[in-house]
Amino acid sequence: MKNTYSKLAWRNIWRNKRRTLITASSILFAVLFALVMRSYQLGIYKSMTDSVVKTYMGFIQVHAKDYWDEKTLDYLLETNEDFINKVSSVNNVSLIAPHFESIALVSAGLQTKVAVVMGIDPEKENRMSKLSEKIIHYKLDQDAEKQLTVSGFSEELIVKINESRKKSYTSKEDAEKKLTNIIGKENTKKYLDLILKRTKIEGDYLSKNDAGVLIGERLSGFLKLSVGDTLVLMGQGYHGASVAGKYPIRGIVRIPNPELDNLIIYLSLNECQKLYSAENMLTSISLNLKDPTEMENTQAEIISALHSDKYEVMTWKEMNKILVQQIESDNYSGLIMLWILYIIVGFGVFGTVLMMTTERKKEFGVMVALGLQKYNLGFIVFIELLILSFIGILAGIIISLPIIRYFVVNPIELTGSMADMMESFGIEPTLPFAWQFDYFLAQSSSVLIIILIAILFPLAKVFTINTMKSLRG
Amino acid sequence: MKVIEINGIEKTYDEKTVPVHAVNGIDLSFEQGEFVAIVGPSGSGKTTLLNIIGGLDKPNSGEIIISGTNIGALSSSKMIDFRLNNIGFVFQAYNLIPVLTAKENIEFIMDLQGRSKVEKDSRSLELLKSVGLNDRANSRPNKLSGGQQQRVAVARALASKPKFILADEPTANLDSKSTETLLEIMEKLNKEENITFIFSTHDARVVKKARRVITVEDGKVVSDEKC
Repeated sequence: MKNTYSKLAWRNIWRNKRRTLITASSILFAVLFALVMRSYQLGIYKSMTDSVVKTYMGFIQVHAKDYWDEKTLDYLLETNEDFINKVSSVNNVSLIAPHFESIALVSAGLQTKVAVVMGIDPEKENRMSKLSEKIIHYKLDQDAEKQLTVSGFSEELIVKINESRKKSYTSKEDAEKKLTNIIGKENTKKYLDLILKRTKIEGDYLSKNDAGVLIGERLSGFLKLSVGDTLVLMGQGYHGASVAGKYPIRGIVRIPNPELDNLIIYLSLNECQKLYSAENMLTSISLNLKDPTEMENTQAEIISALHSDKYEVMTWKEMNKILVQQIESDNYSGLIMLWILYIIVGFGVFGTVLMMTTERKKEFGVMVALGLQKYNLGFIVFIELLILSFIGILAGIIISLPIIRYFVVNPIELTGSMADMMESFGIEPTLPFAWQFDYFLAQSSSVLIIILIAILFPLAKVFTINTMKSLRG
Repeated sequence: MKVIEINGIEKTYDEKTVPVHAVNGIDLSFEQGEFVAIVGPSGSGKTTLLNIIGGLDKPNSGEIIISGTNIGALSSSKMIDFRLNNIGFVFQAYNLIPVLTAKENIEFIMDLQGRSKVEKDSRSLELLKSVGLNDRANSRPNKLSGGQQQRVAVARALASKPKFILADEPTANLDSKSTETLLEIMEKLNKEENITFIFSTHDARVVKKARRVITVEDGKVVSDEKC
């Protein structure tokens, strides 16, 4: 009997093909739009989070108690094996990166500026933030421009590159991708080798006890420093001691967060501790997690493992509340947009279903008169609408998959004022899309729930059908 | 053997402020195997009487006993089941399910009764043959003429092996040739399967074939003649 009901439902869907296609299309576009929009939003949030979390903050940090509020060297962690063992014993912790962070005056020639000095374990930091991949290996400076023009590269193209402000590249791939956007695929193919040859600059990552530094690209520009030049750091060390040191530049790094890029200097941890007269001391340890969704539980486990009020264990959300608020407010406005879309689609489906049930009122009356129970009639109509919804939802998912996948692999590179705005928020000016199963499920379920709500009233009409009135038509 | 017994049924429709007495105290009974025509002018209460007998409408007073069951006492859901197993319907506008073929329309009733596939198959083909449409088993209603659709409707009404069949103006939309064919089929089935047929009709050809004619006027039976 269930087979007959399914057969009836399936055939009823196709008895008015145009209406079915219109209804399924409205569901399809709702799902498509919702998925693409949500993928874009979540991609942006992930990018925002990554630029903060993976650049240096980590998902969780452990500090000496009150360090986060005061941020002075009076609140330092003393590293010892027991402390590190306790933190690393927590199952979800995948990496511990020690940091010694302070501020100093950086001076080169006649220029002086405040800088953030970050002492790092180069190997661990590289695993955490892929810092070595941020080292600039190709830079279009004035010398490189002259050499390029001599080699036949047109000035017009140089102007284009200058206008884009993308004048430095971390790798051949990075250069190829950026130049393709600026001067086109053909020109890039033609001139890439020449550009790479003429713009190549030296630059190395730090070794474990390196006595040199890495410097942010913007800061190096302000101080007019290049690889091999020397800078001087001056500041206040542990217990108020005045400290100073002279360091050669090993490499220039581009940090996605422009504010930090304009401030950051990386030293090896040992050198940094020596500079600040704080050997074996840290300002924080940053933790990467195997499963970031378990961050809060992991935080609780670490607190429990350390079992001491000498420490504070904070998640990136607690340390960067502004970013969390930005994401939340954007997320809510996005969700409101989606719900408006859902409601519009819901009313569309409601109208169609109501029309469909009204049109078939007499047919329903006949079926009940012949002996079909009303709940079975409701079941047939429900199955019919469910199949119709699934057709729309599945089609929406199938169409959205290649679109989203394309933008996951090829994020949109922003230029101009839009790029400036994003950089001012500390985000890379690209629009990466997220590729997660959960939002496919969430959006499809939301659309399905809305449809189910929309068909409640027409279904109720079927359940309470008056056979006599229906037979009269 | 009495199949239907109607005792003092009344039905008043509350048409806003002016009540309409559609059925006004009717007592009737029908025997197994009768071929009955209910006639009368438009608005006389024929269709209301048929709907009440079929359990599609409820009287304001009186009782209808079908094979010992007072159908007025049945709940809506039990009434649907009762109709399925005891009453066959033939409607003026055929009312076949448009998305099912002729054979599937007949099988639909048996599906509701939970009959086996083999039984459905053999009975539907047998019924199609008896109404002369075995070659149109796989045609959907929109591919059949009005007369053919009504013959399928008759076969559908018979599918559940009902105690009686109610036919509301079954020939009203048919041409004379189709009417004649349909009446011959119904008469044959009535005789061969001893099924009671009760028609409401204006059609003199139907009345001519009937073996009992009940005339209704103003909601009352004014004559009940056996021919």
